[in-house]
Amino acid sequence: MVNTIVQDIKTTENYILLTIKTEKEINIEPGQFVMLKLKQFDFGKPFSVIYQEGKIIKFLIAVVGKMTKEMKNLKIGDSLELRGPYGIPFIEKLHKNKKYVLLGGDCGSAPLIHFSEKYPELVREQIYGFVIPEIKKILNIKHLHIDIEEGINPLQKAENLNISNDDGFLVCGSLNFIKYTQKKFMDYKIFASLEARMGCGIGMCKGCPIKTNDGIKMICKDGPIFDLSEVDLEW
Amino acid sequence: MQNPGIEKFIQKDLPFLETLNTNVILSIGGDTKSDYLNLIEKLNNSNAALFELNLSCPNVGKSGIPLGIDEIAIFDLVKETKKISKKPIFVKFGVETFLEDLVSAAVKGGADGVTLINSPKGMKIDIEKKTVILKRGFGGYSGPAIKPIALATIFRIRRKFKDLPIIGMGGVFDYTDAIEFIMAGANLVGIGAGVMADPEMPIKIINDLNKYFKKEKYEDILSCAVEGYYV
Repeated sequence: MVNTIVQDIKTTENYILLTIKTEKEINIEPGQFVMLKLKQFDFGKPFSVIYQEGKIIKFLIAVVGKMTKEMKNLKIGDSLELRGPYGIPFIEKLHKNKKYVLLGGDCGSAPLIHFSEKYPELVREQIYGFVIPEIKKILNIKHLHIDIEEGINPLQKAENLNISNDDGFLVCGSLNFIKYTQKKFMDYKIFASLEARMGCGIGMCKGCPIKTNDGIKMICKDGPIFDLSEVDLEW
Repeated sequence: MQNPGIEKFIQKDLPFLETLNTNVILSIGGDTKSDYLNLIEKLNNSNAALFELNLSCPNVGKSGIPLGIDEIAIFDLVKETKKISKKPIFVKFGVETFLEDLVSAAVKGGADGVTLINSPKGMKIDIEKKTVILKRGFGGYSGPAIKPIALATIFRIRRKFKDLPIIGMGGVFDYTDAIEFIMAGANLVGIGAGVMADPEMPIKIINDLNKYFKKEKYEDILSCAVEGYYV
């Protein structure tokens, strides 16, 4: 458990861009996650990072549950507890001889943005899709796609990209977003970062199972990155 | 709990556990009596301190009653495992209505102690998606919410079995919880969900307990459990 201090926090109604400073330096590979816990909660929750350098870590967080609602109230100087990093990163699963289209759905864009910063040589194209422009108030990056501004969704946009048959996809977002990607780009190699409710983050509680060709695996310990040809998303 | 099975455990995990300078408890579970006997035979020569028979799984015994609530099946299973085991046998129970009778059957079968409690079943429903959260609908409900249930269960069993060794667990998250468990009647205190919330939690609890016992006498809280203010 590492103590961290809030350095900066920007919020909108549905999103948080949180910057923390850890008391000691940890290295988080893109695709890995950490467990963040507020003092008043017994269990932490898993979060991917959008940016990390030295002791500074940034998170892009969707406000969806009790803890993220509380996180909106964090102030600069507040502390929160961090465990990790956990999970197997993109770089250990993907094929390094390919280039990848990074396809993010909502806050699922975070680990892909992190990936694009660390491994630009492996990136073919990037689309970070959000439905409404609210995110622009706190996130100013290239490749942001806003559905209602463009009139199409990120997957329709991806269809029009100039990509070769050898390219692959890295995708992160809701389960439906990932399923839709799989359906639309079935001829391509796709690695997805899967989301799950997690109790422990280290494979003990068995709360995040996924059916794979090699039996039941845990998203936290054996993932969160999976080759989509190896998992059954309908299970 | 889903796990890679006994062969992989012996190959991969046991050698690591045997390097640790502590008492290792091997908790085993199966569908039938022969599963338990088979596991004990395979693990008998490990340097583990004791075996725990986890009976709280919803497996059905011969009589059609789940093994963990069938007095005759419990007596028989403990008796048979005791015959071949080179180590003490503890039996882990969940929260059952006639738990005293079940523990009694285990003790008559030769159990050296009991572990209380296994997680009761719980579930969560997402009303927006109109679906259950867990794949099987329900699962073990653990953590601080079950602590009062665990304490009451240990208390019940300690009241009836004055000398029976009890490993108490269920929602231990800090040293004050551990003291409550000892006071309720536990001889050893276990941590489950707490380790999942913070793998370093046991170290913190031990350090805090050491501080606590610099001020308080262990005998004082022990006598509260054994002699009881509550009998």
